[in-house]
Amino acid sequence: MIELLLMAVISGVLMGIIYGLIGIGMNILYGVMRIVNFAHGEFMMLGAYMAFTLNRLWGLNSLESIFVVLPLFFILGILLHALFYERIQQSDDPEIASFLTFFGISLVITSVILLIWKADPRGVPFPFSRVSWFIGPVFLPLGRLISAGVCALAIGIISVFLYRTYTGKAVRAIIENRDAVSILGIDVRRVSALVFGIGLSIVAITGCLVTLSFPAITPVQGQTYTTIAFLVIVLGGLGTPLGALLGGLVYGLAESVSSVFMPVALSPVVAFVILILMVMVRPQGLLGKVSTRI
Amino acid sequence: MNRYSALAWASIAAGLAFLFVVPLLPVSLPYFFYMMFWITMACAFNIIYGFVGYLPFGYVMFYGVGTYVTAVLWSRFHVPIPAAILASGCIGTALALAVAPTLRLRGIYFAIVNFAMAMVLRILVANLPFEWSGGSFGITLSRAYRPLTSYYFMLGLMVLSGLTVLWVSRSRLGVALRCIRDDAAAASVLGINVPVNRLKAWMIAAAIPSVAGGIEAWFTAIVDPATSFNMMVTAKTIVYAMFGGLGTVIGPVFGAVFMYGLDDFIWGRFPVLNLLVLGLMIVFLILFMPRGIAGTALRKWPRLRQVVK
Repeated sequence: MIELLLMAVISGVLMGIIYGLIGIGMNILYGVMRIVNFAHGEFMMLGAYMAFTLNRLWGLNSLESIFVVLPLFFILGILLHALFYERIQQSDDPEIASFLTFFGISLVITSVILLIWKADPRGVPFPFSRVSWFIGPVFLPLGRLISAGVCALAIGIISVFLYRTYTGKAVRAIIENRDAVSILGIDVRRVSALVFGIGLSIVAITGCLVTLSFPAITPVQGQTYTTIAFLVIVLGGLGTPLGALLGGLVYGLAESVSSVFMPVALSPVVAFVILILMVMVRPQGLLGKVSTRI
Repeated sequence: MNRYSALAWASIAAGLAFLFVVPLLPVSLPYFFYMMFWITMACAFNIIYGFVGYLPFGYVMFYGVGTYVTAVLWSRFHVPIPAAILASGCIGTALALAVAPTLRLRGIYFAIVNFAMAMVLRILVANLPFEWSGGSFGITLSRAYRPLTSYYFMLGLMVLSGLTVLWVSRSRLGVALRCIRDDAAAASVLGINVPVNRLKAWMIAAAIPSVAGGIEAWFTAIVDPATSFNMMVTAKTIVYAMFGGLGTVIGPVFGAVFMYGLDDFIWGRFPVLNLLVLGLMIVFLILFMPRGIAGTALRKWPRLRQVVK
């Protein structure tokens, strides 16, 4: 029982770091632009399918394909910004408008994936000779260990960007107060475009890592990741970028520890109940400071 | 009553008369059944999103609960179908009452929590004891299959929900709801009881899809968790209602008729592209026509106000 719990905690922490990065990608968009990216999971799946094709074409493994997918997604982010940013900001309720717009985009991506790659589950061959390690009685899945490592590295880079660079400071300032920032002469539009690119680059990383952590990908998984991202950022605080890491850890642990005690099919219920309680009791999230409008 | 509204009433009467004789004509009964189903859904959704401004992104849950209550009551407890459908409505409304505390949330928080609730319900229903809900296979109601009777039930519900929207729109309740949508704080200063009015709208908006779910389960004679809690039901309801024009009476009806026709046409010819077109439609609608057909027309010709509102 103790071993089982220990393993659940380790797996929860590893998945928590990955979920954390997934959440940061969505949260940075929300924080800076009030854009609720409901297509987050579908973009991830698009990245995962690109990793699959890169593997088929050039034999790249999941980690190597990040270097190809990430720049493409950065450009995609800039393009999306150019297409939708103005329109969404002009609408009566930008949050709901972006939510519905990206819901539409998620349907488009799912059908594009279905058209190109068909509905069969796909997988990228595991690149390492060992699948797992045992430390004493505890089992460590190598794929998730490496994924969590890459995510931790990415989170580190993002933190340095946000807290140690001038542009990062501008990003945090926009999250704090948009209107004041534009009066101070910061070009909100340009920073937003950059943030959109960064947000989608993060999606690219997590998308490629999905193929490393899980044996198979299917076109309809996107919604699951979108919901996880939501959960994670609501837990950590909407618009608090690094809060997502904390949210990710809480969610990862809740998911894996609850699966020790109850059927795995019900573990999403635990997650959703946490989400609902969290929003009802503390809508600003664990680390959030911004109060919601009533 | 001027000639515009006379014309509008005449065309509505003609449409209803046509729907009444559809079973006698050599046309597809399911097509018109589902047209009425979507009109009903869009009208009911309009009450909560169009009038009050709350986006229930898990709207499918009321429909899903409706299908399951009717199916379980009929197949496990041998309740007659009409009574089971009535029970669907009651339980759907009770569910709305149970989740009413979430109405304290606004905007995106309400939408997300509502969505999460629909997911929870789907998982819970799929994991109910097999003898109750038949697991992921669901329940068949083939011995209760009466397409014609269920068609007329749907027609009745559609008329009822149309009249409900008309009543809501023209009553004090409608005025109060629009005030809440535009500025809840100001509404409450003016003496509008925000929680009570909001709750009324929420319960009406929940009761209608629950009953619609019950009737739809009867019409198709099969119920399973994947279909009953399919996100697409929410998505289509939103798109149809938005296309017509939220916050107007006639808009969602028009939107549902037109978009369902288009959807059916595309679905019949290009099954995979259906999703693509629906997605592009949503993006286009939100960005370029957030007020829908009726709302846009209203801006251009304000005299149409008494017809569409």
